[in-house]
Amino acid sequence: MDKVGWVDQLNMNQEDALKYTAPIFNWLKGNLDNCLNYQVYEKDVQNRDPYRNGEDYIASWEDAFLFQGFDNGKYGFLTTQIMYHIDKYGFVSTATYHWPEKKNPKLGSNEIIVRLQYKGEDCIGDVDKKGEKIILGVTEPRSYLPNEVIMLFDTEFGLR
Amino acid sequence: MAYIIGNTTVIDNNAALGSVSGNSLNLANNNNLPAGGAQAAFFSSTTNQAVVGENIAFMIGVGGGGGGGLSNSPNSSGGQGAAGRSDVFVANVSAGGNATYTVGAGGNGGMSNPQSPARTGNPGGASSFGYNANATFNGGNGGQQNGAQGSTPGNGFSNSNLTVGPFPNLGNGGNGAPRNGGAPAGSAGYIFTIG
Repeated sequence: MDKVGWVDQLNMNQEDALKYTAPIFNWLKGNLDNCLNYQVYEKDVQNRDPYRNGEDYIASWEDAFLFQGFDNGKYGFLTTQIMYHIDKYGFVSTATYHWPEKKNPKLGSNEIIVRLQYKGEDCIGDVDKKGEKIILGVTEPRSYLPNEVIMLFDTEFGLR
Repeated sequence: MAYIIGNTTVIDNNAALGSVSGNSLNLANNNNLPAGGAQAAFFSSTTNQAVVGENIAFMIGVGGGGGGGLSNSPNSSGGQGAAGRSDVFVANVSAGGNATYTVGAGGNGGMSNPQSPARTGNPGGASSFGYNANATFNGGNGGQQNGAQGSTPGNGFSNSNLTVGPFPNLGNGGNGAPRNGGAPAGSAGYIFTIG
């Protein structure tokens, strides 16, 4: 075991490599835990899931920003799918399962995206484009997300 | 026959869900993850496989959490299952070749039997990654019937081909339950590789 060695793949020492990988680890673990909590990988769940056996479940990317989205969280693992699709463009997304303090059961049970950053800049502010205060998880995301981000979502997923 | 966002299918069928690199978990093209030439793959203790892929670079493993213990009393709860062992490490993959994975499930909690003495939960399963080296992140032990919490196994790594950094125990164990309750199982263990 190399406790203090150089990590060739990351070109940094062990201590720095751990600092670098810890946030990635926690981010990935949150995403995977969300899928595991919904038993996405369980064979018996797969086999009895109508939407993987002949039927379609159709939603929109906006659901990932709404507490009532994805049938009030019944299919909250789709929030993670949205995040994977957008993060490949360089966004860093954070969901309620990373940040439980942001949950609000009174407003709904869906796991939602609560922070979206691009090159360190927040895409979700305190107010919408009209200057009205955002209620995270309730306010329609098209009213506060930057137009470029909306266009990217629409292009990535297409419109319903 | 799919989960569709807008007009894009994000999960299309059962076959797509065993792997991170499919359209179910699009990690392979994620800019926020370190590149390393590895195939992306995901396995949990419920979707275990023996041999997969090559060029492993960045790996995370979490042993399954131990199941909660079931008390022999209706007025008290059994012990909580222990967390599975979790670790992240970077493997030197310059030699290429295949790696083997095993993901251990957490141990079951102590059994319910009002007449018997307190029982110990069952030990968690062993997880391992083998690639010119061995690493383990074992499943947590089950909670005990008498209310004692299960224990998390120590980590066990060997061979200089790996660089290892232990992380907090994050494979959550199940909570204990009274005699008439149903003690839940701990969370599944998993391992995945990124490149």
